[in-house]
Amino acid sequence: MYIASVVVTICSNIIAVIGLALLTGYTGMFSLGHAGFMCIGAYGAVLLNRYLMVPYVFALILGGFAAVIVSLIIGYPTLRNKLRGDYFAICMLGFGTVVRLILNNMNNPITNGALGITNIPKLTSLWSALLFMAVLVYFMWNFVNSQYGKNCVAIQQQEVAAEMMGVSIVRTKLLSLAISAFYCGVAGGLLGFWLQYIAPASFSDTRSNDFLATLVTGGTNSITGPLLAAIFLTTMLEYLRFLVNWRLVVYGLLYILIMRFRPEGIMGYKEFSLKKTIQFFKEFPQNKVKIKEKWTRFRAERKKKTNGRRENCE
Amino acid sequence: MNNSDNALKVDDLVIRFGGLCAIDNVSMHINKGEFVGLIGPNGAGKTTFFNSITGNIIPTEGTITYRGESLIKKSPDKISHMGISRTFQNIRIFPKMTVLENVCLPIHSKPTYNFFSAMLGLPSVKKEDKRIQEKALDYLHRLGIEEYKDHQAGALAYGLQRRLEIARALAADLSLLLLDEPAAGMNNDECNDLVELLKGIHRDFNLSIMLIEHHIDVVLKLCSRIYVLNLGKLLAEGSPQEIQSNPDVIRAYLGERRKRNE
Amino acid sequence: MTIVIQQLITSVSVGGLYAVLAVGYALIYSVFDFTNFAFGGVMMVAAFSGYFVSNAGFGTVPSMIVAIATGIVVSIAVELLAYRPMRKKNAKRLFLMISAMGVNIFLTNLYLSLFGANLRTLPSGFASNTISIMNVQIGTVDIAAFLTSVAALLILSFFLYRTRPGITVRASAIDVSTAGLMGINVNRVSLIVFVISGITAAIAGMFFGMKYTVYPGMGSMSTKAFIASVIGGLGSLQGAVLGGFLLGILETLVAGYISATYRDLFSFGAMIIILMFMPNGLVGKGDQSKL
Repeated sequence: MYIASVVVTICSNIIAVIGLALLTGYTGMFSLGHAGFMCIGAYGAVLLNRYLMVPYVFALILGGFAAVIVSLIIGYPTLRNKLRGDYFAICMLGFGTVVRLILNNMNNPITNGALGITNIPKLTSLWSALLFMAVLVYFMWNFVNSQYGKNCVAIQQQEVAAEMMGVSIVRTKLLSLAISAFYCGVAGGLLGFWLQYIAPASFSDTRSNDFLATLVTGGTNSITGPLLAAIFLTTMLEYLRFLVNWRLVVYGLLYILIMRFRPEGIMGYKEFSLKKTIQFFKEFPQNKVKIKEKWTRFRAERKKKTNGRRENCE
Repeated sequence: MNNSDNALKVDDLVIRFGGLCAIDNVSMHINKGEFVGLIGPNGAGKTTFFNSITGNIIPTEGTITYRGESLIKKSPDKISHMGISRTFQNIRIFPKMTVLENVCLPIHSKPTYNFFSAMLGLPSVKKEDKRIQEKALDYLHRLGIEEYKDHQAGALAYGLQRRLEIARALAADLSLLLLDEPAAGMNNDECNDLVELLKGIHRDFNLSIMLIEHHIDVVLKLCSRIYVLNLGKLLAEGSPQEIQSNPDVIRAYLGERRKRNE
Repeated sequence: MTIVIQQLITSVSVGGLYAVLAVGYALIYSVFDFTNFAFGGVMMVAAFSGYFVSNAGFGTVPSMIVAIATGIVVSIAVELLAYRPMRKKNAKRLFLMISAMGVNIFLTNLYLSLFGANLRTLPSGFASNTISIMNVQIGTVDIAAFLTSVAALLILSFFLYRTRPGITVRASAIDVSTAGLMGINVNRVSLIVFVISGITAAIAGMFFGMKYTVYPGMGSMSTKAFIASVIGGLGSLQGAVLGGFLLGILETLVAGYISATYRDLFSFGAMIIILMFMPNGLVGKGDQSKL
C-alpha cells in the first residue's frame, strides 16, 4: 500500500513536471507558480465530482480545463505585445500566492477555506494513475516532436528570428501555457483523489520549486530527463526524510550551480535511450582512459590561460 | 510605373527614436523580380530600414506597402506569411536545432495540422512531417549543405551558417527576400561563390531581392539598381555605373571604403 | 478624520519604502535587463543582521549601519559569484532568472532552517513612540521611514545626475554595450549598481522589520518592488519611484478600508490591469530593441 502511494505520487509529479517542461524547458518561459494550477485543477475536479456528480475521469479533465482558463486570463496580459519574459515570471510568482490567498479566505462550507476539503473518495487507483501518466506523457512526447514543439523551441532559441520566419509568438506561448496548466491541473486532481484531502497549503511555493528543481536537473529540452528526475527526486524525498526540510536550501544551490555549469541539465537536449546507456557501460573501461586524458588536457589549458593572463597584465 | 510591377513600395518613411532620426524621409521601391542593392556607411540606417519592413520597428511616419497591402503595424509573423523573408546581420539561426530542423521551421511556422492531432501522434501527422523534411532537403541541396543536415546548427563553420541562414529564409514561401550583409566576414573567393549562388537563387526562385552589403563588388555584380543611404537620408539611386561615378557617393562612402583598406 | 490622516501617513511611509525597494530593483533591471530575484533574499539577510546587532544591545543607528553593510556585501557577493560568471558566458535570460531565484531560495531557506520561522521584532529605540500633531497620533517609525526614503531617493538622484560615476550608471542603463564601447568600465558600473541595490534593500528591510517583524520569509516583500516597477514602467527609475509610492499608498488604503487580507490580491490585480491596458506602465516607453 505504501509503495502504491509513492508510485501514485510519482505519477502525479511526472505529469506536472512534464507539463512544466513544455513551458519552461521547451518554450523558455520561467514560472514558479504552477502549483497554483495544480490547486485549481484539484479543487475543480473534487468539487465537480462531489456536487455535480461528474465521474472521475471527466472531473480530472474538467479540472484541467479550469486551470487552462485561468492560465489564459492571467497569462495573456503578460505575453502579448512581446513583453519581456520577466513580466510573465513576476506574474506567475504572484499567481501562486494569490490562488492560495483567495482559497484560504473563502470560508464557506464548500471549499472550507484554509482547512481544505476532506473525505474525498479514493477514485484514483494505482492503475489509473499509471494510465493517466503514460497517456499524458505519450501525448506530450508527440507534441514536442511535432511542428508545435519545434516552434516552441525556436522561440526559446531565437525569438526574433522565429517570429520573422512566421511563428506567431503570442499564440505559441499561450498554447504552451495552456497545456502546461492543463497538465498541472490534472496532476492536482489525480493526487487529490488519492490523498483524499486537499488544502491550499498543499500547493505551496515549495511544490512549485519541486517541479522546477526536477526540471532543471532533468534537462531543458528533454522529456525523459525530467521524467527520470521526477522519479528520482520523489523517491529521495520519501526515503530521506531529513532532506525534506532542507530541500529548498539544496534546490537553491542546485539552481545556481546547474545554471552556472550545466544549464541544459543532465539530459540536456537529448532523450534517454536504452541502447546508448548500454553502449556507454560497455565502452566504460576505454572511456575511463579517455576521460582522464581529457581532464589532464583541460588542466593544462587552464594553466596556460591563467599564465597567459598574468603575462598580459605585466 | 505600373502599380502591379511594384512589389515593395516605401513612401516618405521617417523613423525616430527619441531624439535621433534614424530614417529621414526615405522613399524606395522594388519592382517584381528586381535585384536591388542598399549600401551606405555603418550607421546609415540600413538595418533599421529592413527592420521596419519586417515589422520589428513601427515607423514614425510614412507608408510601406507590399503588393498594395500596408505592412505597418503588422506583426512580423504575418508579414512573413505575406511572402517576405530575411537574413540577419548577426546570424540568427537556431543553434541547438539541427540544420534540417532550421530549414523546416519556416515551412511549418504556421502548423499544418491542429495540435490535437499532434498530441495523438496520428500517422497523417508523421506523413506531413516527412513531406516537410523532403521539401527542406531540397533547399539544403540547393545551398550545398545537404550533407550537414543532421549537424547541430550552432556547431557549423561560419560560412556554412551563413548559407544555412539563406536556406532557411528561402524555405519560407517567399517572393521578397531581404539579405542583410550575407557576405560579412567572407574573403574574395567566398564572395565570388556567394555571388554565383545568389544569382542562381534570384533566377531559379523568381524572387525580388534587396541586398544590404559592404562588399561593393558583390553589390555591383548582382544588383540592377542601387540605393545609397547616408545618415538616414537617401543619398543617391541608380544603376551600378551611375552609383560608381556619383561624386556624392564616392565622397560619403566609397572614399571611406578606400581608407578602410578592404 | 484623524483616522484618515493616520492611514494616509502610514500609506505614504509604506509607499516611500516601496519606492526605495522598487528603485533598487529597477536599477539592476535597466542596466542588465534582468530581474534580480535574489533581491528579497538580500533584504532579509540585511534585516536579520540589523536584528542581531539590535538584539545584542546596540541602538538603532548601529544596527542600520550593519544592515546596510550586510546588504552591500551580500549583494556584491551574489553578483560576483552567481551573475557575472554567467553573463560572461552569455547565458540565456531564462538561466539567469533561475539562478537568481536559486540564490533567493537558498538564502531564504537557509535562514529558515537555521533560525526558525519565528517573527522577531526589531527593537527600534523609537518604534513604540508616537508624536501627536494636531491630535493625530503618528508613529515615529512612519516618519523615520518616510524621511529616510525621501533622503535616500534624493541622494540617489543626486548621485545619478550630478556625479561622474552616476553618469556612467545612467549611460549603462540606456545601453550597456555602447557604454562599454565608450570606455565605461562596465564591471565597475555593475558593482556600483549592486551596491546601491543592496543599500536600498537594507533600508527597506530594516524599516519593514521595525514596522512589522523580521522573519526569513520577509523577502517576499520584494515582489511588491517588482509589481511597483511594472506599474510604473519596467526599466524606468522615475517609474519605479512613482509605482512604489502609488502602490504603497493604494495598497495600505485598501488594507485599511476594505480588507487587510486582500492586500496582496489588490497589488497583483493592479499589476494585471496595468499590463492589460498600459503594458509599458505609467511612465515607461516602448521597447525598441536593436536587432
